[in-house]
Amino acid sequence: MRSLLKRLKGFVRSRSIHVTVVNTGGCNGCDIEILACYTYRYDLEQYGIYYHNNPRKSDVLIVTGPVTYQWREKLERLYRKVPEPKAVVAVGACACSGGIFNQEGGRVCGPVREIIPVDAEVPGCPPRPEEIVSAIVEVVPRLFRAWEFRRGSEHGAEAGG
Amino acid sequence: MERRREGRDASPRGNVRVVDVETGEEVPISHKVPVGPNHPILKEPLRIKLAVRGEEVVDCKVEMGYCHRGIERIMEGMPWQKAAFLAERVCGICSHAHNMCFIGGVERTAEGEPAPRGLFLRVLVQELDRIQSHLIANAAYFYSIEHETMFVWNMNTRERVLDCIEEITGNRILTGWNVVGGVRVDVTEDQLERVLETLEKVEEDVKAYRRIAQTDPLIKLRSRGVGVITKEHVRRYRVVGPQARASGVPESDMRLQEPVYPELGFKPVSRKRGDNLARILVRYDECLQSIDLIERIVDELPEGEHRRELEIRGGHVDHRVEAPRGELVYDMELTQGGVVRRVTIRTPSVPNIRVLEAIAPGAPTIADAVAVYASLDPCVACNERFVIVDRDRGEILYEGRAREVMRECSRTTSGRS
Amino acid sequence: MLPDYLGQILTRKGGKRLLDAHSPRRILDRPPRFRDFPRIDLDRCVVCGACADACPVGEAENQPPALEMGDRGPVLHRERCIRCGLCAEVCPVGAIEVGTLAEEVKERVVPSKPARVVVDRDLCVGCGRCQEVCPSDAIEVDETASVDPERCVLCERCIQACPVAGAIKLIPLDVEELARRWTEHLKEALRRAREG
Repeated sequence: MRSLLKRLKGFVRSRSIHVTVVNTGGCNGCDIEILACYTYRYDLEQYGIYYHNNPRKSDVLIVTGPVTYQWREKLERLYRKVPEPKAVVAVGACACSGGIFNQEGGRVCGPVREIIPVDAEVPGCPPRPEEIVSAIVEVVPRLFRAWEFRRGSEHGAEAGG
Repeated sequence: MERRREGRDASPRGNVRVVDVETGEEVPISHKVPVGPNHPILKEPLRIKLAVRGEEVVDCKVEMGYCHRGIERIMEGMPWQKAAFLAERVCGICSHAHNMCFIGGVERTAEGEPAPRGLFLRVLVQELDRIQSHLIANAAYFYSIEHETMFVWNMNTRERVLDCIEEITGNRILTGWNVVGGVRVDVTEDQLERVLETLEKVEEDVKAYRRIAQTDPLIKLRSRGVGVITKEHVRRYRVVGPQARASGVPESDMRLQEPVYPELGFKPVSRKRGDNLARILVRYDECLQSIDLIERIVDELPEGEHRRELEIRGGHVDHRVEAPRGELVYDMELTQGGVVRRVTIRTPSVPNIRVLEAIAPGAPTIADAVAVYASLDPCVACNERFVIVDRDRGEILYEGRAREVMRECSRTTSGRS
Repeated sequence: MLPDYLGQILTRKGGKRLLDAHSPRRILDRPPRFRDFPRIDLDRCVVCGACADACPVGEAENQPPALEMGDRGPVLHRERCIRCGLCAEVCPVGAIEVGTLAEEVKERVVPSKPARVVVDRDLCVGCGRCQEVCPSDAIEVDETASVDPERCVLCERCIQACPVAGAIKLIPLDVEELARRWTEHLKEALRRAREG
């Protein structure tokens, strides 16, 4: 009975996802492509994924851009504000590795995964909207579906750090 | 009552004097509403600090600096082939203008002329880029006044324009299209035909949107007379681009001084009112004008090679291009062979966002202040430029003075090699 | 991967396009000129290193460059790649494929190099070994060897193959020296601005 309830919870959770897009200092090419995902052509909302820029109410953080020094602490704070089942998707070469800005002379502090835990990465500069859509649609619901079962063990420990 | 007082007194900086309604005495208050750096309207990080009296905005400060990536420093010591891709990534929306400006600057130090067909193709993509940029700017504005239908329609039309760009260059944004001497790849007749076909539909759409923006009572309520930029503001804050042209300054269009446009019989559009609605309409006008320009470019496209090999002699160069948001300046110092020694970028968004500090106070509500911000077509990624600090004295040299120093430096170094 | 009904409404009979996306081609089709991640054919690679030199994404403290030269050829780090296509343009043997870009760009882009290969004519004996090993046919031997700087990819194989020590040299165009002088001039100008 309990496991059925858990499965039901997971199913419902995976069908209604709110995302927050955070530009941590990128060139906003990726932001525009994410915005394009919400037009008729790609229509991310048909999968039950809503664009909702309030970190306290959202489930998924989409991070674009290399993390600049000014953003580092703010990103950590923002991540802590997102309530618990949560996922982070790094979109674009900048978020995955610092991209073209992460080389000699650049003032960025590296990829997103070194600052907050990242669940999915979409490479490309910028990735095409269908790549973004497929990454979010493939990965994110899966994370939330199993969350109730993982809850006590690893995810709780991860959230603490 | 007591608690409210406390809150006011505890808030820092009371430069606005307001009379308390209940007691009748003058209390120094300054409610501060920080907007950003992460906010639904701001696609990019920026912090706007609004001081409000009730709903009325009385003071506004813009805080930038969340996007500083040190692009100018990374470019130093890079050959132009690589630096062009970096220039493109200053801003994702007007990326082609940055690329074009950088390459145009390099070409001015080179021996010989770039291929005319290449120049025309460059302008073709630039105008397509302008249409998509203006559409997204208007979409963002309509989103900020909660008119979601227009937002989605604008974005949808933009997808078609992106199709055209994709058809020609291969990428939706960040095209990597320009090289010294022309463009990377030639276009075929079929592609041009398909672009024109798509643009016909785009033209219909844009005309419909312009009509809606002109006649819709809800849009008129939120936009007419809000956020007026006067000519005085234009002069004082050096506002550029469609924002200045909406205030009746058509001379601010740098396209008048670019190579290809005079051959196409280009004349800038302008409007007089200078409010939010005028800015929106100027952008729609420019979209239609760009479509005309593209049709003329396709008609008059010269035959021949699309790219020439040029020899770059190097030196100090200052190149200007009309980006979708206004005048864009690249001030560069190049070595022989095209290695960047120093580059300074002046982007149009800096003065355009700074003018918000002047026009947001007086906005009737906070939501209006945000709408004014969105109507300025801000591009925060462009904004993060250098500051020269005099380390011995610990003072910041402001733009004019800093520029002098940079000029001085370039003069001394160019004499050396 | 993505379902076929992207951009469509699911009905009982399958996907249906209610909201016209105004696109002549299907959404999942990529345009012919699209620059995807480079596909590297290691069998054809001559390990000259031109692609790694041309790549605009350089090395960082904690990250490798987008194209790293391994023993057998370039290794692509996908999360670093910005899909600019320069590597396909500079490849002398066409081992890298980025859509149809390399075929459409007729002229080879020659990146400005950080260094130059110079032959000392007094020392050269004209043995022709450098010509044999050169991957890009940049060296011609006629009594003494001469290097075509346009075609040279700075692989340094000729230097290794040369029997006479010091006959072929790699002369760097000094970027650090330039940077150092630049700082000096900046200081000088700042001082002058303060006084004046």
